[in-house]
Amino acid sequence: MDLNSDYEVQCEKYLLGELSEPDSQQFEAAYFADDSRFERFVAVKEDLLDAYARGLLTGEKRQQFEKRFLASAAGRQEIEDARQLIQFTTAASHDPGAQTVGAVLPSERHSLWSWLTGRSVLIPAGALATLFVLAFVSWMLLRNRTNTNQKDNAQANQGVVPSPRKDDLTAPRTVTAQATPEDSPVQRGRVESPSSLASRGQNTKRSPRVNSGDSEKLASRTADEESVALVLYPYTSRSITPLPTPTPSTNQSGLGFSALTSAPRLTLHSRTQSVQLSLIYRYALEGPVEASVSDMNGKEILRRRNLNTGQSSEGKQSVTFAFPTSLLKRNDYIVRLSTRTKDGTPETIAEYSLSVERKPPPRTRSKP
Amino acid sequence: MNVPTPLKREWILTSDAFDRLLSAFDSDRDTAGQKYEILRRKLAEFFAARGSSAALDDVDETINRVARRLVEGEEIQDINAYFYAVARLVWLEETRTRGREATPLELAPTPIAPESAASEDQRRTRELRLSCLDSCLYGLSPANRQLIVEYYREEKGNKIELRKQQAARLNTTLNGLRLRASRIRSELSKCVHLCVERNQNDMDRAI
Repeated sequence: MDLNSDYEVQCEKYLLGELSEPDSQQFEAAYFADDSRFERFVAVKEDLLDAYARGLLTGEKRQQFEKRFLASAAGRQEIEDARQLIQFTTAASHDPGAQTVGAVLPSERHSLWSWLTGRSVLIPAGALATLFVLAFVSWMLLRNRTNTNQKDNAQANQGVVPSPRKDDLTAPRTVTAQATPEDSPVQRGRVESPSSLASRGQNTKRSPRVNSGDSEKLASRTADEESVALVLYPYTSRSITPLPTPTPSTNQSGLGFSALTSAPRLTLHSRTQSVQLSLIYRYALEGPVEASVSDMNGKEILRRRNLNTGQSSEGKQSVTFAFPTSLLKRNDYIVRLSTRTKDGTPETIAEYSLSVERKPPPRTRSKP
Repeated sequence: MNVPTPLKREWILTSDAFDRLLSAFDSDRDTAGQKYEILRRKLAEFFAARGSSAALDDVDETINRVARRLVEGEEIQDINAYFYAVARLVWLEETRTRGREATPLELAPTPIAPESAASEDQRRTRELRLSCLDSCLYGLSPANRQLIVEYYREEKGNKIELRKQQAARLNTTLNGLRLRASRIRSELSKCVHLCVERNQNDMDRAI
């Protein structure tokens, strides 16, 4: 590791147990007080893990590192994560399919231009022809997608879950509709395990990477459309009595604010007028099915009765209903699926969480 | 500063107590939530560095104690410093409970990493993590993916020198590049965690 500042050097010493007890306390108090110091500390730790995973730590430094990190399951997992990251980034750098078409990165523009102009005339012409074909195919797909979504929206407004087409990678399956910021990975709704991919005859070494870009486009596109669909999975299983108001658990960052670590996030734009929720559940339902949406203060904003049960696109039992987005504010919500016993007693089947973010309408320029 | 006396691990964090805890970080709930997340991570790093065998439990215990004090009406001037003080107390109690002296970092005994055969569950979880990592990596923006791929990939040559060259191309320092990679990696970890959790639920339902 190359550490070119005093603080980074101190970080490494702390991690390797080389600081005295008073110095350690001072170091810890400093990063508790200052978030930017803590961020630098985490970065140094990750580089240390990286160096160990590459076999670059030797001698006493290696022993000190192992004393700290091999002693716990969490530490061993961090080492494993570092190894996996090296493995996957190495594979990604060798994968010609890794680049999104058209997204030529700044560091590669020069080399791509050199490649094109350094060859015969035929090659630039061939590249142009390829681009033309790709543009035409993209236009056809976009046209087809627009027609499909118009039909799907009409179905959604009637309460019918649109069935996905196998060749339509952009069908709203289990995607959390969310406009993705530039520097955040897409919140993936679902990933196939290698074994299930193998059973479908797909490449087991890659999860459906082709869908990654499409999901990004879908996520940013659907959040801007008039209707958005979301599939929710329960965070509680069936209960006989209605659950009390959710309390923050040790495994969650807390309820009631948008920094939930496990609640699906729904980002609504000003144009989004309706939301369609599909609630996945496990147990067979006998009585009439109801769904309710409540805010974190327990205030019910919506209740739908006598809902039809059906199947999601993955063949799971689900209940689907739609409602106007005007009912949702920038808040966290609990969705409850319930039924009634023979004597009319309400029975909660499952509960789901949802975090809503609202995007302000775009500013319109005033004419001078 | 009055550091709270040791409390039994019986008190449960309620919604109201959690709300009061968040408001101690910031009046804006979203900002408070972000600060709370960072604080949890700091606590986790502290307990891990101190050799806690149940770091997550110790983190929760620390949070519960501070929240309880707030509910009881204690005025806390510096919430981060208070958390650190309580965390040290929890750590000291744990080391005494486990029947050994509180060991300064430089004298911690050499641990023996246990050999454990990978169970079917572990193998499945590992597969799932790999799938999620792959998926999340390709879910990054092209610029971020390019940065992190170049930063972490295996390649010939001195890795530090290569990173310096990468930093120069990005018009930043090595520390700046390290921070950027760390931030992207943090987002990647969150994505993987959510992906694993979501798909783990799927797999459990399918069983």
